[in-house]
Amino acid sequence: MDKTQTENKEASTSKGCQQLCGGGGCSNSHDDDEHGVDRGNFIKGCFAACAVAWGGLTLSPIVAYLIPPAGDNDGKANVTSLEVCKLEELPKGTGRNFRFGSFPALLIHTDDGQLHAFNAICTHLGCTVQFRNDMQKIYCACHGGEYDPSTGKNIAGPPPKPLAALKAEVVNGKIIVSRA
Amino acid sequence: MVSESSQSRNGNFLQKFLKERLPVEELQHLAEKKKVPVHKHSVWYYMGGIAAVLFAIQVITGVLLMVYYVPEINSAHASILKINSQINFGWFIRSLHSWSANLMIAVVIIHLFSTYFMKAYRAPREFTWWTGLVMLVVCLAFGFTGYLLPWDDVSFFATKIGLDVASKIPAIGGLIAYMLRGGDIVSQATISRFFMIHVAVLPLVTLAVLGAHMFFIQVHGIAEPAFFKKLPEEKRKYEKFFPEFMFKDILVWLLAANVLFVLTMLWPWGIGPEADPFAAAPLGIKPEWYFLAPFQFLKLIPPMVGPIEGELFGIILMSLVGLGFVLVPIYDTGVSESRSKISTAFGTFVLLGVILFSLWGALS
Repeated sequence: MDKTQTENKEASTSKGCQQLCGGGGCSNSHDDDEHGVDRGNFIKGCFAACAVAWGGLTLSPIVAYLIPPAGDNDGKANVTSLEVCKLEELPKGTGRNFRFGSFPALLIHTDDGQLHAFNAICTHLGCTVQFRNDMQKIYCACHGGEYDPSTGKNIAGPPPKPLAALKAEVVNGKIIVSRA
Repeated sequence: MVSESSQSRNGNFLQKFLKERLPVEELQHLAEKKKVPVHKHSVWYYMGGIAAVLFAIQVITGVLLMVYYVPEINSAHASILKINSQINFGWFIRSLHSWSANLMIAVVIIHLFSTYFMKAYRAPREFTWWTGLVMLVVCLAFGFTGYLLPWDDVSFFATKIGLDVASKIPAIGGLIAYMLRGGDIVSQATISRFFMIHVAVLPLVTLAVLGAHMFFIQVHGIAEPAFFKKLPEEKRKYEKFFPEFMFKDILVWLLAANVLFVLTMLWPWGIGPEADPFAAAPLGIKPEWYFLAPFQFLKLIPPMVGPIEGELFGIILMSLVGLGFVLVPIYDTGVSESRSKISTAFGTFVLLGVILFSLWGALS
C-alpha cells in the first residue's frame, strides 16, 4: 500500500465516522446512535429552533403593531339612524348616495313611490354603487354589476350577493334611514 | 509645457492613490471581460438598462416630490394641485415621475417577455430570472401604492378594488388587506401606509433585489439565444461591454430620456377630482393600463364558477399564470425540444391574452 492509498483509506474512514457521529467526535457516538439521537444534529436542531423562536419573537410585535385596532375609524362609525333629506328633495325615479356611519349608502325613491335604502358597497369588489335614472337600476361603474332597486338583489354582472338593506321611512316629511 | 506636465503628474498621483486603495485594475478587467453577443435580437439587451435609468429618474423626481407632497387625507390632493400649479417646475417634476413610472413598467414588461422568448431563464440564469420576476412585482407594487397618493377619485376606487381582490386570497387575504388598508375602509391610515411602503419599503427592496439581479448578470454574463450558441465559433460575433456596448447603452438611455421629456412636455400628467369615500364610483372608471388586463378579466367572470366564488376563481387562474413564469426555468431546461415549444406557446398565449384583455378593457 503506497502513501496515497493510505491517505485515501484514512480519509474514507474519517468520513464514515463523521457520518456516524455527525462530526462530533467518537467518545459518545455509539451511545448516541443506540438511543437514536445524533449529537451534531441535535445541536443543529436546537440552533434552528432558537432561530425560529427568536425570529417569531421579533416579528410578532411588528405584525401586532401593523394590525390596527378594530373600529379605529372615527366617531361617526356607530351611527344607527340618520336624516338624509326631505321627501320632496328626492323625486320618484331618482336616487342619492350618502354617508351612513363609516360606509357609503344609497337611497332610492322608486317609480311606485316606495323608498329603499341599501349599503352602497358593491358585493363584488367593494366599489360604491349608484342608482342610474336611465337604467332604473342600481349600477356599479367599476365592473358593471347591476342590482334591483327595490330589493337590492344582484341581477347582472359579477356581484355574487345582494346589497345589504337599510330601513327607510318618512317621518314628518323627512326621510330617515336606519339599520334594518 | 509646465502646466501639462504638472497635470499629468496630478493624474498619475490620482491613479496611484486610487490603485493603492481600490481594486481598480480588477474592476477594469471585469468590465473589459464582459462581452455582448451581436445578433438579430441584440436590441432586446438594452431593455434592462433603460428600465434602470427610468428607475433612477423615479428616485430623483420622487425625492423632489416629497418636498411638497403631504400624505394627509385633507391635504394630499391639494398638495398635488399646488405642485402642479404653483411650484416652479412642479408640473414638470410630477409629470416626469408619472410618465417615467409608466414607461418603466412598460419597459420591464418588454424586458420580461424578450428574455422569456430568448430562453434566457435557462441554467445557470434561474436566479437572474427569478429576481427579475420579483422586480416586476415590485414595479407593480410601486405603481399601485403611488397611485393612491394624489387621493383623486380614480385612485381611491382603484385602491379599494385592489385591496378587495387581495382580501379574496384564502386564509391570509383578509388580514393582509386589513393591514394594508389600516382598517376596514380606505382612509388616512391607508394613505400613511401606502406612502411608507412607496417611499421606504419598496426602494429598499428594489436596492436589494436589483443589486442581486445585476450581480447575477455579472457572474453569468449576457445570455445567448440557442440559435446563436449553435453557430460555428467563427460566425459568433461579440462586442466588448466596455466601452463599445456601454457607449451605445448611454445613447439609448439618452433616447429614452428624450421620449420621456417629449411625453412630459406634450401631455403633462393631470389629476382627477378629489376622492369622496362616500360618493358613487364615477361612470367609465378604469385602472391604469397595466392593470387593465386583470380588470377586464375579472369583469367577465360570473359570480360563481361551480362551487368557487368568481373573484377567487379569477385570482387562482391569474396566480397559475404567474406560477408558470416562476417554474419555467425548471420545466424548460433546454434539453427537451417539445418542452421548449410548449414554453414558447405558453408565453405567446399569455402575451396575446394580456394585449387582448388590455385593449378590450381600454375600448369597452
